[in-house]
Amino acid sequence: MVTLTRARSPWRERTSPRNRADGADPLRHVDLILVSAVLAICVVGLLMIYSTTHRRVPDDGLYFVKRQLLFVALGIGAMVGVIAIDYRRLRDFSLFAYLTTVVILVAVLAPIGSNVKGHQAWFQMPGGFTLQPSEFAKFGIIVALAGYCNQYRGELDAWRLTVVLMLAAVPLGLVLLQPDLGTVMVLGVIIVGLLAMAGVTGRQLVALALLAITAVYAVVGLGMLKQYQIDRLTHFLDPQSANSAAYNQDQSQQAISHGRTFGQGFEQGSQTQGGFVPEQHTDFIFTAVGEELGFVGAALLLALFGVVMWRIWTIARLARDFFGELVCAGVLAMLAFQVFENVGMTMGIMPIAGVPLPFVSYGGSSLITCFACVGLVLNVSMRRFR
Amino acid sequence: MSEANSRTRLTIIGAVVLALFAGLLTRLWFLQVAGGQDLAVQAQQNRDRTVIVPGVRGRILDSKGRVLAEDKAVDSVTIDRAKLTVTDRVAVVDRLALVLGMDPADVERAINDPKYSPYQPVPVAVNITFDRVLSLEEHRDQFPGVAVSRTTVRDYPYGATAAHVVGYIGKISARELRAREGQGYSNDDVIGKSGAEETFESELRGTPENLRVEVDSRGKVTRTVEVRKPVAGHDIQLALDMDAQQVAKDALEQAIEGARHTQYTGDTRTFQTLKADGGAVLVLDARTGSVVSLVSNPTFDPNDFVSGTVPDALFDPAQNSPLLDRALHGYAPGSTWKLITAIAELGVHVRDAGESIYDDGCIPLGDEKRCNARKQANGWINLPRALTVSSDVYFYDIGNEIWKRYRNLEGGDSAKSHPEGYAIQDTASLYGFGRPTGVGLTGDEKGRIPDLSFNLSRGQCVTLPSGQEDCSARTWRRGDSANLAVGQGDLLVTPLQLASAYAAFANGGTLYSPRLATTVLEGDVGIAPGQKQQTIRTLEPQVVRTTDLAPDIRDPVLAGLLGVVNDPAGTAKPAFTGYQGVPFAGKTGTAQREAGKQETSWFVGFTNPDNDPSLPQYVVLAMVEEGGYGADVAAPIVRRVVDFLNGNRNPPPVHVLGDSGRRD
Repeated sequence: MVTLTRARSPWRERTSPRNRADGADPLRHVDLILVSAVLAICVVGLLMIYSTTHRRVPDDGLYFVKRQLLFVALGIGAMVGVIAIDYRRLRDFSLFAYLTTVVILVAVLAPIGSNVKGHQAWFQMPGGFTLQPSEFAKFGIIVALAGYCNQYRGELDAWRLTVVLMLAAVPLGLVLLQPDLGTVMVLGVIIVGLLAMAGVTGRQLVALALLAITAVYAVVGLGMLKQYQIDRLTHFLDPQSANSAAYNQDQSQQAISHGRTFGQGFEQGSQTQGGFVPEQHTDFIFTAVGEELGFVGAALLLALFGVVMWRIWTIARLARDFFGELVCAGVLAMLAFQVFENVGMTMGIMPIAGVPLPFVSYGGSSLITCFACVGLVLNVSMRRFR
Repeated sequence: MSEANSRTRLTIIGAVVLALFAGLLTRLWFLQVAGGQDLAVQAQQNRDRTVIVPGVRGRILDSKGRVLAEDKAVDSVTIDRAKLTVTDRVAVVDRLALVLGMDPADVERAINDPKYSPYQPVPVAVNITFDRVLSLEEHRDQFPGVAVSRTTVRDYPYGATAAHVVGYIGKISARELRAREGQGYSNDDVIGKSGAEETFESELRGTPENLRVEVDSRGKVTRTVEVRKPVAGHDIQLALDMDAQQVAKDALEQAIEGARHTQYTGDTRTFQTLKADGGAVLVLDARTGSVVSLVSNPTFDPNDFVSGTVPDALFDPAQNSPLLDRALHGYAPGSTWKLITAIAELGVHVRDAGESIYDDGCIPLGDEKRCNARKQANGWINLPRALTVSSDVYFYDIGNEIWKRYRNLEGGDSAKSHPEGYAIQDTASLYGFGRPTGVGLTGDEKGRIPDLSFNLSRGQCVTLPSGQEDCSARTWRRGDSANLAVGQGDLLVTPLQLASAYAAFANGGTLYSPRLATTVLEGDVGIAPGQKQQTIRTLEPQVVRTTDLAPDIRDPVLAGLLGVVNDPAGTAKPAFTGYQGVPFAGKTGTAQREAGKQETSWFVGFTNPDNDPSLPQYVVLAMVEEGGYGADVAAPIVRRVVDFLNGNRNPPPVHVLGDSGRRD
């Protein structure tokens, strides 16, 4: 069966008449556990966005919740859209995905992009919405690099590795110019994850690590970072320092600790309701979970993420081709790192960086990107028999 | 690349992800379950703020309900620097200075006061008149950032008249704040600094309003958790009678003024006037210890402390320390002490009251000779007579006799106890000397009763020219005992101790702790005019002890003290010429001081010596530093106060006697 379906071209598959009893029907292999876990995480996100924002807009306590609901709908739309196209056709679009990513990243740096709080990272859209192309770049990089690595399975020599890195360096550098350190870190992890899956040797990985360290020193040492960015990166190493990053991290750890085992209760967290934690409905939303739902709620949320990771990992194992495996590894690396970096920074074990908590943090671009990435994984899962 | 290789890589990635999640869960566990309590407490503190709004401070009243201290609402002007633009500033400051009648430089200085944070309105002027408030309010637009607010300031309507009793308030010091931790004081509170304001701080202050509120990150109050309603401070009713106080204060001032124009006739024979640089007058109710008057001179105006315009002179020792309450300060009592010596003498039967000795003006004491002032000879005198004419010779002899018992009967300096040899010291202790009176005012000194142990603590051995070591200063000498008998030497008593002792003698032997206040009343906030304030509690007279004052002791001593005022030869007779009223007895005193200082002038007496229950009984005491003879300066002060107590609302002013010819 497996060998049979492999021979078919995607095109033929699309045009062939549907058979309801077909055991390989993609719709019968939608990973419902993964979808349920993602939707459950979205519900937690909506609740916490309500709790952190309902006092901010005097006339409409649901303002942020309604917008986030719209983003969830758009995200599900994007996910369905990604599912609809066979991922193997996407593979053929990997060059297109790469170029599109580079173009929008260049565009946002041009005057048509807008600058918020010192970051040239957004497109202003009608209705007060904004687009953050660096989020979409994550999706683009996964598709593009998976496509490239797939071509050279087992033949990823030093030259090709250099080509991959050079290709990756272009969008990375563009995001760094915004500057958006968080996304740079996520993109870097995606690249490492994909390359690890693609078959780089241990020696190459070590060389890669050295290169990354050199790059970090260059970025910091050449004065490309502003002082507040250095503070954000280093405060978790020196908790006694006092600056605005320290304030952020102290307040967020206090909020989480205040939750104790069972939490202060929904809408009852004084740190949360008093607005002591900055950016709490976006990057620091986990502090609201921690304070109001306690250890039980926070651990449950992490468990839901665990389920998501487990399903993606399983789908990678079951994928029928190497491209599917690579895509899943890229998505897994992206989501796992974002959860670790985001939750870790609220608890003071990771530096502060603008990385949203997938499906929970308020924000359309991130949500749509995450749904699209899950769509990729579902796509691989659905079509593993065809 | 093989399928198996791909599996291995995927397994490694899975393991890394698993490790990351394990790390997050561990950290979460340590923050929320196994630790992080301190952080949780900090989160709680972020939110909770305690806001303390002081209650209205209670009033201080005199015995007839007249207000001596109260909170008064005043209008003050503040400027909010944040609302004052640089371009406006000069013009606003100039206009404000004009309206307030201030120098623009002073306004500018007030605005720049570094004590206030830039976001806090700065007070520019306190207690401005109503028409100034009106002109500010009318032209609001010309005064951006300027506001008029109502605050309270402490007001002392009688000013300096009872300053040492009423006291004053001031900003709490860091030390006072530490001492009152947990009592709800904050560092911009005011607190009673002296007098009744200090003594009754806890009653007067009442309970501040205490709000526990939750605030958000901008400090905005989101919820009030707990409210403790403010309770206005209680009123304190003093025993003081401001009418008597005023008379006493005037009398002392008149006497001091008169003395400064009077020739000093002391033993130094130099031609100079009396210095009279300070003094005290006391009136006590002998049956309760109530302080009816307490005057200390020089004095100060407590309102100066409120407005912050305290004259530097108040702290200048060259200006005779106006803040010092001289009624509580220790002095040698001179002959007023003979009351104590006489009681001791009769108590241990040194000599019967009727037994006479011959006073030819001087008496040999061991190797030396002691004399009366100007060697005045008094002839054959018994105890009452000796008191009336204030014979030092008689009491030197008593001191000598008591010292002989100390040495011969009791073994002198080596003996453990001296039941008779210390008869004067023991009597003094019985009548409250050597210990603070317990009046409750700061500065209530304990004085000093000298004895062997005092000499041991102070006396030094000296090497005589012969080469011998003389350690007699470290023994209890004949001269020490003789000095003590006439109220000289190292003896120190405070006017308040002396008045209390005379009160105990007058009332038949009950020693009271002087009582400053009689009642604690509920605060008058919200009480309709004319409505009576409820009594919270009564401060009962405090009996220190009841001494066994037998009639065979009291009667002869009283006869002597009556003679002082009434007998033609009595030392105070000139000051009491033409005295009419309730019977009065007393004792003059002229205490010598160190070389170069004029004598301390004393008089202390009491009305109603026969203890007629239908009549009140007062002790009146006057003391003038460097005032010369008690008969000439102190006694006329007491005369005027006693005249007032006898019902003469307007007694004649004090006339200091140039030289009454009475020596004591």
